[in-house]
Amino acid sequence: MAAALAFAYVTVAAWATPEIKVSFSGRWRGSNRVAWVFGLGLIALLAVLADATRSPDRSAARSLARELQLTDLALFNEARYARHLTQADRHAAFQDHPMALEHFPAGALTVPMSADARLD
Amino acid sequence: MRAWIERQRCLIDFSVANLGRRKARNLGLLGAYILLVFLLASVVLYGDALRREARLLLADAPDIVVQRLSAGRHDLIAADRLDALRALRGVRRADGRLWGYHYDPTLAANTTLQVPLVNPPGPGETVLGATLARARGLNPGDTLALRGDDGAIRAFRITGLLSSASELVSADLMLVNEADYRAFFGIPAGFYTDLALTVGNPAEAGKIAEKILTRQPGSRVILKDEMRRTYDAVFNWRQGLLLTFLGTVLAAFALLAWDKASGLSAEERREIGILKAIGWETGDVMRMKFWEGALLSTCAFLAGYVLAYLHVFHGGGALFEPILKGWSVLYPKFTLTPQIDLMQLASLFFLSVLPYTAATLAPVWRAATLDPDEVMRE
Amino acid sequence: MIELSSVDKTYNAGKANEYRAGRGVDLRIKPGRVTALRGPSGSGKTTLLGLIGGLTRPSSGRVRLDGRDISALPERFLTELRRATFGFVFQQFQLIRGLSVLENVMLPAAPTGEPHRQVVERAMDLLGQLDLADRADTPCQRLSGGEAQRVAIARALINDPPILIADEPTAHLDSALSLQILAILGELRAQGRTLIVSSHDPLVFDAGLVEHIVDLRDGRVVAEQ
Ligand SMILES: Nc1ncnc2c1ncn2[C@@H]1O[C@H](COP(=O)(O)OP(=O)(O)O)[C@@H](O)[C@H]1O
Ligand SMILES: [Mg+2]
Repeated sequence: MAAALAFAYVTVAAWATPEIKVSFSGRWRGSNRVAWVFGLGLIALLAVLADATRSPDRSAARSLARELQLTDLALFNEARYARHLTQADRHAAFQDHPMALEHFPAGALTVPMSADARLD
Repeated sequence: MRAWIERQRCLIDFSVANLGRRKARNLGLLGAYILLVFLLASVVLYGDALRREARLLLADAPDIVVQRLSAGRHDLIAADRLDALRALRGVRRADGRLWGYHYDPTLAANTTLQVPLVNPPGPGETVLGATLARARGLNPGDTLALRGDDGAIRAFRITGLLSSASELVSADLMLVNEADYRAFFGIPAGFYTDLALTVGNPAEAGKIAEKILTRQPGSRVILKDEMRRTYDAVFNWRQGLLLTFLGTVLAAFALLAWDKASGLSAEERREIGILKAIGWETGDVMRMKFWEGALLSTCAFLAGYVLAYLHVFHGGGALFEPILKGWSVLYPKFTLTPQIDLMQLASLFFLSVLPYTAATLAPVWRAATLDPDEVMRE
Repeated sequence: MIELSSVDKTYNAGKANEYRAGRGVDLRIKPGRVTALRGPSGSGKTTLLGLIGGLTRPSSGRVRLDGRDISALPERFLTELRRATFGFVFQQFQLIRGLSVLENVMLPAAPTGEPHRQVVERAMDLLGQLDLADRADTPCQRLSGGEAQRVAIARALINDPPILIADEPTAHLDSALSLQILAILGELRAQGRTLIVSSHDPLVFDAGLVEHIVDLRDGRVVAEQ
């Protein structure tokens, strides 16, 4: 995809900038150089956009989560109360007081759930 | 139209020539700028991707989780509540969940022991999360010995590993069957860790939760929506923290550019004077300077964004891992689902291009409106 | 035809360092001829050239170009006029450092929107006429004084203006180079351009090029021949 775009671009650009073939005093015009650099940048961006449309297979993880009735990501498991954030006590990340200093980086990166997100 | 294009091209020619005159300085500037956009875009992409991942993976989480609180703390819940819950209108299914933490002194980390509802392991057998197995150097067929609640050492034979594609949700899991679980933790029959409900119509989950609270006071009810919002909030918070920091850096950068430009050197002022004297309008000078700023910042944006994308979605967000990882011993290996929000792309573009361009342009305006006869003087 | 009528130019008006560099100047400059402003340093030659070429406006009085009052024109039109009508050769050359000779010569054509190839051809043509063709890619800070002056002339001519204004064109050059520049000016005169120069270099006046001499002193015209 990106390669095809790049090829098309090079063809069109070479056709549109005859100075490349008949460059005066051996150099390209600044604007042509800009067009080339930005063209390549745009191709890279398009390639990235195209790449972003692929969706890797998540079915294994999803079905495991469903089967085990999982509620949390296993990202923060350095502390008991951070492992299951959604199941932890209210303000669990802060243990005793919202302003208390945290032992673990994960605790510093999480917030207590806002009041309206809680039912109890 | 042709003339307009040719004119812009000529101005761009000179912008490029101008940028080329202070190559080292401008390349340095470009490098710093690319780095900044790269960090900014990485944070945004990474945060969003994690949030999306959480939503995707936990899409099938139980609609409602009911816990018992005892003196404000999570406690075991009696199995007989299940029947009452099943009787509620709208509840399609209710299961008791058994899960808990076991501190593994070898790893100095908590693992999560859980009893699967379907296909539980046989007696004395276990299935491990891939991260945990890797951390302990265990393979299927090996035996894992743990000290249980009663002080007795119990050996579990590893019959399999959870797929490494699911590490993000299963890193530290250790699946055992119900009997082993109860014996290991000393939990009597008739009690569960908590109860998971599936409702017929997710829109009614809130109503059902209220009913549960009135019928079973002392319960704590967690809705799926809350779980989702928890992760949104968690990643928002972390992202916000970094974004605030990077935003400050960006502002400082624009300020620097402003400062640099507002102290237009005598040389630069002289050059603007020359251009005006030989027939450039104030607007032409501004346009050329605009192109200078816009070219540099757009270049930085394109390079920074593409690099950030590669970093986050193909490099596993290597730079953020230490931050997220923290003290975690059981940190999962995972790749994020790439996705680009065009709105976000646009706002990143404007955020990175506009302030800089404006900051470089504004001071030139003052110099460019001066009388051109200054150049006549020696 | 350029006409100045009772033109005053006061720098820093109303301030302590107020200076009247032009006082009641009346002057008529005929097209197709070589006019020279003569006077010692500080007599107001540069100031007057600036007024004639529309680089600055008179504090009072009128400057007319072919009967059109240019002292009251808005900046935009004045710029356009400057671009199309006048070519300037400044006393200090005023080339832009870091840009090549060719780029410097092409600068005045950038805002016209003229096809690039055409401008390049004309610029190379001019450089060829001025014996600079092989210097096109040289950064202009590496030029000698004579070369820089010729580049400045080429730049002044890129838009093919009918009037060329040159401020002390021989001031920084030795006699041989001065004569070379005067020869170039003679050729431009032969092409039918109007030349307005300032100088206090006797060489300029002895060369027999100048047809109209305006003597200046303290911002006043004291004699004309
Ligand atoms: N922008 C200015 N501000 C204040 N004084 C000026 C300015 N330009 C020229 N002058 C003064 O006006 C006088 C005439 O200057 P100028 O026209 O440059 O004379 P010349 O070119 O004959 O040497 C000088 O005394 C000079 O100091
Ligand atoms: Mg002078």
